[in-house]
Amino acid sequence: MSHRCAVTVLFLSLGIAAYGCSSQEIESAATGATRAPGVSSAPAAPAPGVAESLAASVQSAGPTLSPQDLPTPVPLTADDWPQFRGARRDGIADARGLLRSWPAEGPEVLWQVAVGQGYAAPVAVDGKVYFNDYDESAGQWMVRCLSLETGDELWRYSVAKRIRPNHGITRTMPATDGGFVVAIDPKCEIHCLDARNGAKIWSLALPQTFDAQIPPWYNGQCPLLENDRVIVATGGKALLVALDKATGKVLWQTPNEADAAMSHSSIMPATIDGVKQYLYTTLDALVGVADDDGRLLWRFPWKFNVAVPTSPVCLDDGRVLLTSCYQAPTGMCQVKREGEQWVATELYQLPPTGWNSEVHTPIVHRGYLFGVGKKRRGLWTCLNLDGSERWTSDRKASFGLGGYVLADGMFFVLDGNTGQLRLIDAQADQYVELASAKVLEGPDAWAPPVISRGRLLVRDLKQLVCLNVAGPAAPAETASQSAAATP
Amino acid sequence: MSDSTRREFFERAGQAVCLTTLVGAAGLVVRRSWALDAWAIDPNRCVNIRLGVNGPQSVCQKCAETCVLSLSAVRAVNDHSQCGRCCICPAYFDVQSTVGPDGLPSKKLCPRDAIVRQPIGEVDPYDPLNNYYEYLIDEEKCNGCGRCVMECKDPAGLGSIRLEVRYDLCLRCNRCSIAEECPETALQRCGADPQPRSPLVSAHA
Repeated sequence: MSHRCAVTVLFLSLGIAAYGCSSQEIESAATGATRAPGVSSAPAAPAPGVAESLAASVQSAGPTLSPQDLPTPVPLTADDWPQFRGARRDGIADARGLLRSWPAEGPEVLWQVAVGQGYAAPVAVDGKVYFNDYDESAGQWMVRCLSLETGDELWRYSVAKRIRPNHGITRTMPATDGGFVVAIDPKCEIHCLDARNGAKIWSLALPQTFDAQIPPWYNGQCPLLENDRVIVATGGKALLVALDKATGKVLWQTPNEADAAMSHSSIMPATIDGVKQYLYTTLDALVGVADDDGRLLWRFPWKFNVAVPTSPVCLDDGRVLLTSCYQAPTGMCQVKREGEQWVATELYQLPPTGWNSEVHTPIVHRGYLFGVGKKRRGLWTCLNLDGSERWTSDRKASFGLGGYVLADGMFFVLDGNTGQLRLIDAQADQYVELASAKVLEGPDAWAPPVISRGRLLVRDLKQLVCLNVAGPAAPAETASQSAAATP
Repeated sequence: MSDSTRREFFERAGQAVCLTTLVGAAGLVVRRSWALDAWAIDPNRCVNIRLGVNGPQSVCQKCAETCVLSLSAVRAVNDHSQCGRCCICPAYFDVQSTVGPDGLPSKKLCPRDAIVRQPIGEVDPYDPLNNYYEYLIDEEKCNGCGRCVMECKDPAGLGSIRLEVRYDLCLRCNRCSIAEECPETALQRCGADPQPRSPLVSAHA
């Protein structure tokens, strides 16, 4: 589709609206949660009347569940990994007592399940694993819930949705507080589910509701679930919106004056100069949006290229790191408040030959940045905050587009090409590999690993695998009793 | 047989062996000098194809610039079985150009506009950025500059576009001008009957 004239826009808008209405009805009829045979009974499904509410228009998608029918969030612990990059969205798990070496064959495989092609990592809360999936033969997009202990499927939520592979199909994680599960499907429809049984509470199609454009390679945004709100970027009529977790109703929305399209980036919460806000990268800027009413606080122009799969990394002092793919420059800006004005200024911009991260958002640890860069097929790199490289894994290991997580002083890093898992000492001042094993067949093991209760969850295009990485001195029970994570 | 006859026999036999050896050696020299050998690009040496080298600043254009033909015998070819058929192909679009309201980069990458982009299969008008496209290389335009090849490889591409010596165009010069200029000695003789191209080490699957 090329440039649109006004008439074309009007025509397409009407067309999309009509299509949206019809597809909504079809999908609502085809939607359902199924409980796996043999699984102990879960709490009751939503009260009668929910189904009728679900058929409402996308603008008022929220059903009128009585408070006692709504699921109750569980208290999150240090063992939970409730959303993209964990509870704090920093890529760091609070697990302790993990194995620091493995036998040659790698950590013990506890279970594995087949998954549809994609890069969608799971989340894990309260001993349950939730992840997005797609059944190509049935044409159904799904959210699946498994037991972390056994891998048994507890329930699955399915929606008839035709999605053709485009470098994989699924690529985002749900967010959950143990009561609600919020997921965005590849065609940018938000689904809010009951974590007890997978019943749909509400759904909201962003393309139809906000005239949002489905990004190339589909949705790459992971929803932000924060207290009673779901925060997502939409593009189209709004830039960011806050939705009521229980109903899906729009609480506030940020005007999209720059007409920014939805990117693959995920929203990152931050507090700068005492003001809680949400950071988001569009294709041509980094923006800060007020937590309380969604007003645009500041906008920092930054040119990305085609896609922004990474998310901004905010440091404690208001500095924000930007990095992305397709030769987009890596840089840092300083955000601060001067009186009533917000100011965002560039601190540095690396040259095109400088370091960048293609897919994953770097991790800040010990005052340094860690991540896989694009050079030499993906070198594990430690950078100073000024963007200069301290050391890399050059001539020792490369990682392609593999994901990573930091836990217990160790980076668990996947080689995205081969499925080799490498355990890297996060306290060392050079590349020190503690252990290594091929845990996935690959290729395209790009999903970031997830750690919960001493279990490491990794996946490639075909399998989700659960590995036992708990050390003998620190059973899961001990770790779970540590300090609660920030919800 | 008398002594003189025997001597003459050995002298002539020796002369015949020497002559045969000389003729054979001369034949080999003539064969080499008559340039029957084809040339091929080693994908693991060529910086445009080799994995781990990225960015437009790294593109080598020797193949386009140094061939004795006015339009180089080295051309980009697209292995469609390996192509991802993306809507936004980094080898077709200049991914550093501004993205337009249609969600597509506003400029093409090829300076000679030698790549043709055609929609294939089902076209979903409500999801235009996830339709499939076929990318055809117009050989009348391609000069083997390698820019598209540099972009169509890990991590952004699948490596379906390669630079190859087109044997039907190559003059099989004994001293290939591209080979002499290639900074990575990527052009190598491959005999009179070229073998299929060698695989790319650790190629993206």
